[in-house]
Amino acid sequence: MKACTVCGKEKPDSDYRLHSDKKTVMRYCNDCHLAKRRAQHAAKREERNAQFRARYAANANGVKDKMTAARKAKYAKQGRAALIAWVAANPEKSAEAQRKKMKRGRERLSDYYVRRLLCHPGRSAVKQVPEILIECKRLQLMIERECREKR
Amino acid sequence: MKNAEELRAELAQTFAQLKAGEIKPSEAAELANLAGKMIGSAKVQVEYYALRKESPRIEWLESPNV
Repeated sequence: MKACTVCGKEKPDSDYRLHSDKKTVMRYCNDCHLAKRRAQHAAKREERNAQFRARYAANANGVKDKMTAARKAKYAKQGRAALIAWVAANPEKSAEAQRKKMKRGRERLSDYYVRRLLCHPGRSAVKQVPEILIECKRLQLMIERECREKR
Repeated sequence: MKNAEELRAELAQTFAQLKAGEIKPSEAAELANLAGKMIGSAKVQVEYYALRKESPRIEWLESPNV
């Protein structure tokens, strides 16, 4: 038994973390240690998140690729049913994600966006829109946008 | 413009000319408008066959090189 230097409670050695030498135990108990780490993280949360976002955007050490692969693996394992369940459980988050996706698609004129413009999956019986039709529609939209800008 | 391939080529050329300032925006807009009608017409054809659960070849969408 040992008294924690932070909370002062008497706790068994198993409630204390080991130092890096793996022999001696720390002076504060596991709960106090975790509370301290949480407070440290909360204090630097924004800074650390910004660092991670920058690393992710730059694909440092292939972090972006690794996360994409992990997401794909998770999806392959859990399947579409899990995604549908998540959408049903989080309608607001799902709607927000859909809005973001459509905004990105509108800006980039992605295949998804143009296909949806041509044949909306909820209103059209067409399952596969011909690629050539998508390309023509995209070019038409590009011209219309350019005309609007030049006028 | 006898098929979609030709329409795409024409649209790509028009876009390049518009970017370079070789044609007026009004001319390009007219072509884009016409292209929209052609695309819409092809879309109706595709939807019609999808509703009838048929999948015939639509000549206008087929490339002459295939």
